[in-house]
Amino acid sequence: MWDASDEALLAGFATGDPDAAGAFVRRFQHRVIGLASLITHDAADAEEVAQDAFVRAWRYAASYDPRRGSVPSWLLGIVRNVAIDRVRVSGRRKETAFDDVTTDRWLEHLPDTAETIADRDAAAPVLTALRALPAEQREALVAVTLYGLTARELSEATHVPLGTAKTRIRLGLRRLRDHLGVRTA
Amino acid sequence: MSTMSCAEFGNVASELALGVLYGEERAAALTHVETCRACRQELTLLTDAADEVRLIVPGVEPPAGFEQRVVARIAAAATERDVTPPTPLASRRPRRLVRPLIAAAAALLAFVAASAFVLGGGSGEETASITAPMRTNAGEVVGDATLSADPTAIRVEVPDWAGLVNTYGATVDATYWLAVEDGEGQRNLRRLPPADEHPWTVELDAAPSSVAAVSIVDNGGTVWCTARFT
Repeated sequence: MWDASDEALLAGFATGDPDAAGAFVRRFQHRVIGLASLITHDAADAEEVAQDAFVRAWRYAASYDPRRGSVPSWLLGIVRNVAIDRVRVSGRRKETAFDDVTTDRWLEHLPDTAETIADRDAAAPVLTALRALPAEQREALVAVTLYGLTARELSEATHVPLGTAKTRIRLGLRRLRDHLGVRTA
Repeated sequence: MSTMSCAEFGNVASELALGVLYGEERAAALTHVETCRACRQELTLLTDAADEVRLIVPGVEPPAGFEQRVVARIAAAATERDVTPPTPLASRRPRRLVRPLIAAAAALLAFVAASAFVLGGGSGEETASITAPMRTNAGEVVGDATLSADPTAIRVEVPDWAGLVNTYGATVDATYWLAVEDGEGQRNLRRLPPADEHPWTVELDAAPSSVAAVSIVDNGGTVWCTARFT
């Protein structure tokens, strides 16, 4: 089971079998808690978000469509949305988000905190692409991608017009796409 | 719903790919990609790029016992799902108590209530209510809807609404609609109250007997779940 593909592991997870569920959780728990911690800034909240995300992933595992993205991508999308809803309820989303975004703290430490060599290898081109972006586009992209800020919330948090915030998001993601597209070509 | 050109789509494609485009713009953008292959491909590339950012977030060591707690929660949820009756219920409120017994009684009550609507034909008997399960397109029961009379109203309860929409990249604060379908397939839309007012109650200006089904849909026309009363 340790060597099973992500898709095979998810299929086993969907059955609710305790062994399969344990294997699935073990494979992804570091990433899930990592993203939950990044968004919530609170260890207890992060664990609850992570638990909720796994339960929801199990509940909807049968609906997973590989054409819409990889299993980690799908799972982390759930984590992001659960975490955003949780932080939104507490009314502290924009503050927690922008503390990190403006300092780029998480971005600076990424290469050292990646769990495995494979993770570091996978992250390196994306980090390079992100760092190549103008700072305001990088910040916009991180705020929206990881914290779910809307363009309007970003404009309020950065004190720029809505049109400027939209432009930063648009240009940032397009440049990232171009950079990563070159990598895969 | 307004139409959108390729140039206009290009202006909002990144926000759509990042899951932060809402309302009419989202609906128009989704409609556009349905019919435009080039913009659909562009959206895929942008979404892939956004996914890569999320994947590089560093992992964090889980707290002791985390895996066991998750597995236990899933086991508990699986047990609850296994005993959820697939037939319409008159009430699922007390389900955390003596679930099997209540489920059997509720199924009986639902049958009686349904008979009042169907057989009574609106002849003064429409003071009862009928409850039907809310199902996703895949057939999974995610909640229930109760149709009541005097005044005609629909009460919708989807206990894990946030989980359902989160799973597919949406959030609870987007705009959702209750689509009320009559026996001839005509649909009228009523705006669903905000998520913090869940469970939702929507009053209708139609006779209960004319309501065949209700669905929750979003601005893009996606049907999230449906309850059928006939």
